[in-house]
Amino acid sequence: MDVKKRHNIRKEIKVGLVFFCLVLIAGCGRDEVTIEQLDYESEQVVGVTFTTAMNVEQLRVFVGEESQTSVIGVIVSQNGQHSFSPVIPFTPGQTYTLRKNNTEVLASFTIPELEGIEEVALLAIYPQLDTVPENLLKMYFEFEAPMQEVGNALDFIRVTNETDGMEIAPFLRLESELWNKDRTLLTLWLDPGRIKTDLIPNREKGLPLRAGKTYTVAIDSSWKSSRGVRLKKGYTQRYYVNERDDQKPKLDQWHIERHKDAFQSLEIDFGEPMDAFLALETIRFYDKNKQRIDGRMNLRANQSRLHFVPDSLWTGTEVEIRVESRLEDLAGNNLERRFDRPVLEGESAIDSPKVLSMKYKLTQ
Amino acid sequence: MKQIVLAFALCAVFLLTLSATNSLEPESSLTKDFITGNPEIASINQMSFGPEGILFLGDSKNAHIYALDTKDVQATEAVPEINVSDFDTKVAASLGTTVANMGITDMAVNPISKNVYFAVNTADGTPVLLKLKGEGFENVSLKDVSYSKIALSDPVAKDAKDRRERPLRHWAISDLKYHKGKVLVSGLSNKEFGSTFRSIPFPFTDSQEYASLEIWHAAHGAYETHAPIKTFDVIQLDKVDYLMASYTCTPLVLFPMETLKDGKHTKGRTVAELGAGNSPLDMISYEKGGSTYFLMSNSNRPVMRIKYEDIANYKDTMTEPVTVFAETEGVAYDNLPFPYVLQMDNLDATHVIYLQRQSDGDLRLRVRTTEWM
Repeated sequence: MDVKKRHNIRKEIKVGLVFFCLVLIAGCGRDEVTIEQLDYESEQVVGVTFTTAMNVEQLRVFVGEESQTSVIGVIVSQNGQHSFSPVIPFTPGQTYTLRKNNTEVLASFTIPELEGIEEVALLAIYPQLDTVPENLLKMYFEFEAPMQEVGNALDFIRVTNETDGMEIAPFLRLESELWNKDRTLLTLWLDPGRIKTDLIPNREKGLPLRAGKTYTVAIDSSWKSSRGVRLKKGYTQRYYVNERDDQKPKLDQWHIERHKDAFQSLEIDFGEPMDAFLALETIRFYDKNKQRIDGRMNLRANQSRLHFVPDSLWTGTEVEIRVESRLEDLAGNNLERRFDRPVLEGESAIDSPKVLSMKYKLTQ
Repeated sequence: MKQIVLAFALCAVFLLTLSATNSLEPESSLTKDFITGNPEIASINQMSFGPEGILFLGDSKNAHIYALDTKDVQATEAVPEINVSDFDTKVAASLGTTVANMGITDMAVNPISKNVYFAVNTADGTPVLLKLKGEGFENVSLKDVSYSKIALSDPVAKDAKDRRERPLRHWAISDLKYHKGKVLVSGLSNKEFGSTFRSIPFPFTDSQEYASLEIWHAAHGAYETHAPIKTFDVIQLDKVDYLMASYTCTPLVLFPMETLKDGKHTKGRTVAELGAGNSPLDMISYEKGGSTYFLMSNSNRPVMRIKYEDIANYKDTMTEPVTVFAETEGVAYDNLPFPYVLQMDNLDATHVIYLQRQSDGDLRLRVRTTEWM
């Protein structure tokens, strides 16, 4: 090989190396991703905007650095910027990585923790009284704000039999929990199969609550609202359990009286505590022309009295009080049937909703 | 040149014919009233496939049933090989979050395509519908879909004198199935102890029928109508369709489908009492060796298997109070060695797909041949 030829080969190698380096540099440049901003909507991070010279088809977003399952979403490109939007908003406090071909981490971003959002209070646990019947059928938990929709509510509620010093599981675990639409009110049934005398669950496990014993219902503060904020604190409610209630509420034994206040408000004494929510939903007041009288209602005296303040002064001498038969007492006995009926006593087994009526003379 | 022109002309005629043929393709009578857009689904509590790839969703929050045209109608006979471990972690990761922030509420298999769908609830309440794709997922849009919907109206008190007396009830949808032109829906009240069972004709019209179902509590020795249904299925015994309903108080009850008519009161035949501390989750049926079996997954017990023949041959109605303590009553069942099966569905005639919590905590999606079930 002559010198000239050798020189040419060297020159070609040099040119080749320079070209390779340029390609490498260009390639490296193209694999850069710069996070430009997090995209907010209603205080939630619904996307991430980034810039890159590389083909975005090769890019995937992942939770953290370990996950091998990419986040589903769409990338929209506009004016040299690309926006990735996941199916649901990004999770506060979570770090995400942008990777090439699922492996090479090119960028990462962290969603800020929620700030300035107040913790949520548990407003009330119903029944709001100290003593409940042995066959208590249900409890309500009322929250200040919508609660999270994942996990099971029972994971945050502990019931302890204080008398015997043991934790118990009295509630029926339902796949579809019984929340109101706003998800601020939860209904839990004490296992109805255990309450009904002689049903197999009743014979196998007995009543969920026993007369003469004291129980504590404790709510864990780690229960989160739909915005991911914990409860303000843990809450407890203590109940003493009394004898069972096997009587239907009797309309003819309700006592009604008129207060001598400015609005001449009415108070119905049920003679026993009633279901706090059904009492407010199922009782309505009408004048002699069958026109509904609007007003404010609230429960008093351990849910055993309903106080009604009409929006305007009474007209006429009589008021009609209509009550839907589905109104229940604490043991699930409604106006038509007892919840736990002994064998074939001839009581109506068919639940047909009725509206019962009673009159009250305002001159009384 | 003439040949080229002729070829182009033939192509054009062919394409026009093809296009005309497509446009003349008969529109499905089931989806002809569907509209495309955002149905504003607020939650997915239960779901079930009907014909032609139509997916029915039960939304307790909005008290609506939605029918979605998934357009997932590519038929396949092949049984997909599915064995996905860390299933909940993978679902969460595909949504960009962690397991603590989401929950799988239901699973449904499209009987045409064999694609498996999952309804997922997220912490902020956004409902998500995912389709399994290998070990990953595809998002099924709930915002731009072809759909129809119907509101679940309340049965009104017959003697209600005022529309304002209409009870403001909220019925959480406890189960939903499509059967022979009707969507069957069971609901639990979030206030009074009560239950509804509706039969809604599909395609949706303004009508929905309420059946009054009466069950016998063998142990209790009493009938009642207000016991809440947890889950149900439609089974066929001696060529007659029956609603097989499982109640929160654990009886398993049969109702002849033809008797479930609006306002009509139907007395069920209790065929089994399944014990305490347990909630039935899913029910499916399959055939094996000339016999039909019924499977029920449970919250706190293994999957139970009951032979149809045993149900058919159980002619008695459990009408006498049970007197022996802790005695299992009614049709015999086998406990299969599959505890903690959270979701279960037929993948095809001979395979079952199920989501099971393993003893090590792993949530695994698996397919199993019915030969071994």
